[in-house]
Amino acid sequence: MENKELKKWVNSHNFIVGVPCSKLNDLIPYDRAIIATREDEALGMAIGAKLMGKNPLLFIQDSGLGNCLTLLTSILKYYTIKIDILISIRKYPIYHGYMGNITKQILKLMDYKNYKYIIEK
Amino acid sequence: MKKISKYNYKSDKCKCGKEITRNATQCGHCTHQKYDKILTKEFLYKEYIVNKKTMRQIAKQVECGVCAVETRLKKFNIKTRSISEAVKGKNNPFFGKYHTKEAKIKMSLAHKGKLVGKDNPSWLGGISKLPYLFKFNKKLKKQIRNRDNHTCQLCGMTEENHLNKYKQNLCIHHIDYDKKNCDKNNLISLCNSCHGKTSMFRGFWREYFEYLINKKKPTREQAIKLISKTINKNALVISSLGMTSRFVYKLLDKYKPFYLVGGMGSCLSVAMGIALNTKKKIIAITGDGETLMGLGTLVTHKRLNPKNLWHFILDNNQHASTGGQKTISNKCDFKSLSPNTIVIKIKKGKGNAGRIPLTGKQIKERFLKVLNE
Repeated sequence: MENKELKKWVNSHNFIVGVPCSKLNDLIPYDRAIIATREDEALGMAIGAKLMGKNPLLFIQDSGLGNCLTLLTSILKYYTIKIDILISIRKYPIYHGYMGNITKQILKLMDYKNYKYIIEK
Repeated sequence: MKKISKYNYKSDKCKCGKEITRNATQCGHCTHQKYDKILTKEFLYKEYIVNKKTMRQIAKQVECGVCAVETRLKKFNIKTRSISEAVKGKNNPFFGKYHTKEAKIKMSLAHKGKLVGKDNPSWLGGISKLPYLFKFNKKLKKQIRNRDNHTCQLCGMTEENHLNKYKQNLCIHHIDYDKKNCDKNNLISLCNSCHGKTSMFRGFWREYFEYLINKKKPTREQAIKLISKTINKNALVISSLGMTSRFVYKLLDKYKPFYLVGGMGSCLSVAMGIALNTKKKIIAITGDGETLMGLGTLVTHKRLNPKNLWHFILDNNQHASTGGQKTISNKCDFKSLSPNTIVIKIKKGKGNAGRIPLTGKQIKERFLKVLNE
């Protein structure tokens, strides 16, 4: 993906953590990023860094969003913490497609309205 | 009758009509109104951040006190520089200079011998130079290594790995720190790095090893009181959901811990995110059912290995808060996944502790206040 603004936004964070995706390979600086075993663990580490005053970024796939639904509701909403998340939406292969089609609706259901939707050219 | 003061100050009147008892020209309210016109937000931002002047220089320029500048900087949310930030590089008065050799010798002589022997704050009476007993020989050490299956009782390191790494057999540790007591219940085999850990927090390790050797189980209250012995002045406490959090609220609330009431299986990962970004000591207290939910986190803990994170697992082999259903923690060896955990096996049962009455916002704000102190 050749999006210069998006790359600038990613590099402005000082604590990057997540689970790798083939579509995000050009965007994420893997030499200073931490790769976690599961998505909820990565989100937990980002929450800890936010409490210490850092500016964390979480990068996940769309199907990984299902793994961190408990933390998105019962920690981020309950303690009122805000964190930047980068989700890659994939429609191919087809087992990713089911989640990719309803990702926006899930975010709407959880009352996260502040998001940007970028289409790859 | 009116009180008359000792000294006969003139009683004048200000412009605004207030009485001034001392020899001042204006009242305090009027002077601050005068400063408010000059010390605006744009002026302070230009002088303090763009021109990088100090507070004292600005105060001299405007002819006011330093406090008047400082309060307005806080009022407008402009970030103040710390002392270590202000005297960095060329601003440091010692920049480019160095001590001569004679001065260095003088300084070292002045401090020599001040913290040796009895003057050291951690002096225990010269125990370390006492000789070992004749009883404490190779034969006895071999018996104890055989009893412990040739593994470290804390981290689970085998003797073969120990020989490869340190080129010596496993260490034998005296539990009550007394060399003359060579009873078998007073000795335990540890690896080299774990033996080094036991020199700090001696009260905690003595009690912990006594529970291990005698195969006794403390209650949950006793276990949390045991953990509280490792808490430093600057330590931060994080506790997981369920009964552990309720008991930590009951016993250790004075440290203002962060209760993770929601978010199952994420206590260790949040603690790790905090530990990677500070130098303060962090204590994470979790239950067995909670750690089994996020087993992968233990492996990440082993790989990243932040040295200031202490992880305790209170293991009683059941989901206590939901009614005592069995877990499979007796089939799982937490030490083999991550050697940094300390497992305390506790008695079964729920115990008496109510729910936490604080809301999420209150918990977060209380925790952030402790950080900034």
